Amino acid sequence: MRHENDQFALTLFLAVLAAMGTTALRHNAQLYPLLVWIDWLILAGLFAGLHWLDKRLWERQRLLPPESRATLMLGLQPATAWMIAALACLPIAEQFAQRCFGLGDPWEVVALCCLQVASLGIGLVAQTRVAAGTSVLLSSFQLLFVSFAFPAMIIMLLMAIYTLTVLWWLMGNYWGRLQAQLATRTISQMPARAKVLLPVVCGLSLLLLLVSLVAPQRALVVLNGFMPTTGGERWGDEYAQGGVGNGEILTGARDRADTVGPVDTNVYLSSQQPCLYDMISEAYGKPSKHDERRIDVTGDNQAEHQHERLMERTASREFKLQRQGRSRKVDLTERNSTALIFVKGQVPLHLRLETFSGFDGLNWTKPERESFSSAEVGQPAVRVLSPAIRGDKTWIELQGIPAAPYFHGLRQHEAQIINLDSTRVPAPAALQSWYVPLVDKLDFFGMSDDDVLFMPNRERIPVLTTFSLLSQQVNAWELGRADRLSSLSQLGGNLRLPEGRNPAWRELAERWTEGCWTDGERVLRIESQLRQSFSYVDQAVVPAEATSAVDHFLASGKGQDYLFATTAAVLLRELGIPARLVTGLYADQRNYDAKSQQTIFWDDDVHTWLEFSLDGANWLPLEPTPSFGLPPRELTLWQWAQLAFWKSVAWSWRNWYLLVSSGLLAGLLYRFRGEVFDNCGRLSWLVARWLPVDWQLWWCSRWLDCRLWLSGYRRPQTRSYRQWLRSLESALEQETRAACDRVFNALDAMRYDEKWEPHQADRAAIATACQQVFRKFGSSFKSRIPTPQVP
Amino acid sequence: MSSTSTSSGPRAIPLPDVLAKVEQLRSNLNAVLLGKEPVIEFVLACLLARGHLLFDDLPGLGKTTLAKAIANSLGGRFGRVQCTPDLLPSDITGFNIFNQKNREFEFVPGPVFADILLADEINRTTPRTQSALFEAMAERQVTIDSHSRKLSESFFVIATQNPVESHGAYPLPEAQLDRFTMKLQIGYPDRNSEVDILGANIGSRSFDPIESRAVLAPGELSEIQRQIAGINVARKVREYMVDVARAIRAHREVTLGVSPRGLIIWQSVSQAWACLQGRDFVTPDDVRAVAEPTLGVRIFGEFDSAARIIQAGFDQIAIPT
Repeated sequence: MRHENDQFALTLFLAVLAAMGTTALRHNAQLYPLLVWIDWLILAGLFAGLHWLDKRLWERQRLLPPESRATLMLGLQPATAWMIAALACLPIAEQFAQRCFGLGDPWEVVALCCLQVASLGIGLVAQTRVAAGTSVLLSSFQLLFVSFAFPAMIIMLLMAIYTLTVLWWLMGNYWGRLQAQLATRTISQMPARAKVLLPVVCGLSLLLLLVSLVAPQRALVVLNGFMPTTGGERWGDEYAQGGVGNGEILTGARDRADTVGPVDTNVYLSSQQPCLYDMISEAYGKPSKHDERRIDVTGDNQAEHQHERLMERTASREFKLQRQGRSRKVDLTERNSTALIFVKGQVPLHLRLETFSGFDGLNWTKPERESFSSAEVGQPAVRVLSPAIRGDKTWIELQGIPAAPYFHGLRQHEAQIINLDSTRVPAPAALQSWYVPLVDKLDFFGMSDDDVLFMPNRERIPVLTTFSLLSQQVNAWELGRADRLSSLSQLGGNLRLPEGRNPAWRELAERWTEGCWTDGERVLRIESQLRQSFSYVDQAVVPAEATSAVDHFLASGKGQDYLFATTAAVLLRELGIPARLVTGLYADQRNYDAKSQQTIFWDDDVHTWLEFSLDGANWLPLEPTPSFGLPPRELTLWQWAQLAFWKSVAWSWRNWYLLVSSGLLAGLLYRFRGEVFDNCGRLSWLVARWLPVDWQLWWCSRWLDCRLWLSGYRRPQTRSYRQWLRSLESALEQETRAACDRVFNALDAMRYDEKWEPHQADRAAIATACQQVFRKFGSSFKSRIPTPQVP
Repeated sequence: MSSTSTSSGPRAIPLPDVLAKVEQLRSNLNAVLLGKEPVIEFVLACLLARGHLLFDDLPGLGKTTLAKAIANSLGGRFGRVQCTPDLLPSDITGFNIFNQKNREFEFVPGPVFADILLADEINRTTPRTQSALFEAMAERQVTIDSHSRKLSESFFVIATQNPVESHGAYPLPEAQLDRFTMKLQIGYPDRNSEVDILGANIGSRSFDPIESRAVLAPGELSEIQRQIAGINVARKVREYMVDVARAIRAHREVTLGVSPRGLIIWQSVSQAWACLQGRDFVTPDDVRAVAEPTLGVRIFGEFDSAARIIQAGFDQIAIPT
């Protein structure tokens, strides 16, 4: 019996291993991993229900001896099989529901889910060897398929554990035969099964080793036509999110040029626009053939571009604060805007295109041709570009950027230029390096005076150019503890305030940052104050007669994004922190396109924010406008915990009265929970007394059950009320006992006397008895019971 | 509590009357067996369920006194058999003897023709003799020389066996034990009761029981028994009993569980118990109350305490609602 139980437990374990593999595949491929976990919860709930049903229906039959049980199981198997088959169709129904919302999985994954449900369900209820074998077969196929579709380390680990467990299970299944074999042999020899297993295992291991050595990139070969795949060369499924290679060139598949999802096929370009490569080799017109792409990087016309700091051509040198109202953003599906850039990577994202330093109260101007000073006063800092080879790619790095304590790690974005009429490259702040495929010449790029990456000597950036951008990741904790350098006062342009400005600005800045210990904290406080205290209104503009945009904004309390940014910049400058206005493109999760797994920046995503610096060289973005996402600032888990702790301490300090009063209330409720419950019971009796007799009795018995449970003396289902209360008799008064007796008598008659009729019952007596129970059977008896005793 | 009669027969006795007579019987028995009210309740239940009783007890605890009191209360004849290894079946059932004067065979009835029979130390007599008694218990008739003779309508056997003395004993096999409705142990009385017993026996040299007056007319007991057999047992209660019996059968320490005959007997005793509580329907509490004495005689296995096994069986089955 125990051996059998072990076998069935192993079957379930194998099914769970395979389910874990399927979940890992789905987690990797699904757009919203939360859906996978919700799925699991639903599945767990269903299986809990199945298990409960199994217990309820067949609990009594399990008391049979094993021989009779097998016979019975055969009879019950069709019902179980139908139930499991119905459950296995659930993933399909779920898939249809998901597709209504624009989400979905490829059908192979759905088939895997059905298999998963089936193998788990059969494993859960399997009581015969045939059922266990079916479950193991299904789970084996599942894991095998997952290992082909998603060759990750975790899957390999699962496969290894699964293989060992399956071997163990097989041995257990045939243990009787094995033992008999071993017993009849007089000479010590390996059993027949091991003789077969060993060479198979060795052969497979050797094959795996060979394959992993010979073809490390494609270690597990997909058998064409045998294993179904999505994406690849023939067919693109719009729901296929992962499991296929992401090419550097994010363009469409051979036969479906309208998709821009990542596929691992040859590139197909039908654009007539000159591409980067054509420009380099000065071959305009039709694009070159697929496999004859050449990059002429050693051509003669490159010479004059070497080692030259390049000028940019910008559209304007001024940003006026007096503007027309902004048109409302329309829904993603309805807009007639043009897509400018496709970006892969973390959003919300602020892509800088222009910066403005000078402010006169109404207008921002770009900086003069002055150099950016570093921490060393008076030393012009040159933005030097240098190549950095990483793997087989040549990245271009910005040299001369000092390290800062608030930078932790890097984050990468891929931006594909679709329709940007500019030579400026939209890049996130704190850019560290970038990479354009097949381009490693430094003089393709330059840094403008306003600190923006651009491509000189071009009309515009070629269409479909893809930039991989690496920028520094800001740590919120360290930023909050950072202070500005004392030598920053030399940064004139970014600290200058308009003359004749309102002294109230300084007062406001100091009032808002009261209690802040560091400059980093002050910056974040100003940002959060603006976000909380002011509202973003599309149509709120600075009137033409206003002399100061900031005063108008502070007075009105609402405005557009540039007013928020301007106000934040002047407040920071009042505190001595350099700040500058930045215009560019902003997009968040609302612009995310699930099918292509990219964020689309439209032409009406132009946005204004600001950047600040604590050391004069590194500029960090700040988003003071509410309803726009904050720039990502990371926190490690420990930092998050500390922050949460201190925030809660601060909140508790501020709201001590609330805490104290709710604590008192909770304490009182807990202390007198019995009495509260009793009074609720009595109140409920006021309603219940008008119900029919059988309802009254039912309600009284339910309340009694709850009362006992609340007292820590829960009645087991195998005990009747009378039996359970017998041990409480000493704690009950005579009157209570008598009332309970009457109620139980009536309850017994109601339940067990087949001739009992409600209208024949003495309604008045029953009502009186129930009322007495409600009144008498209160919390008073609990104090007399030392510990709950099981009779 | 229903005030109607338990069944609608031509001579149906209303339940209150039944209860009143039973109360008198109870007080008679409690008067002779002091401090053993629970045992008396079980004895009454066994009697009303038309079953037979087995006492597995030490000597001198009042078994004979009890049996005589029952006989007196029922107004019936009391018979007694002291089982010894040389007892013959005819010593129990009776025999035909040739009357020299009349030149005919006369039947001399054995003790089995009494209304209440006390068979002492039944595990000391041979299996052949035991089976003669059991046949009489089961069929309520004896066949002697191909002639069947019916026994009393209210034939009630109280058998005893001494757990201590096993020398030369023929222990009752399981099949025979199954014929008894329940097995009881009187046990020693408590201190106060023993003092009262001593007091009651002052002035009396013999241990004759106090003369109890008859509380039931002849034939009344069988009528009451018939009515009790018709007491309502709801389906869910029957299912409950069956589930518990199956749980006990499936217990790993039990080799022989409750048989269907045992279940029927258990149901009869539950009906009697329900009547003793003044009800005309059986509840799970009644089933539980009579479980130990009724099932304890008919489950076998390698366990020390049948009560534990029975409790384990009940712990697996939820009370029907």
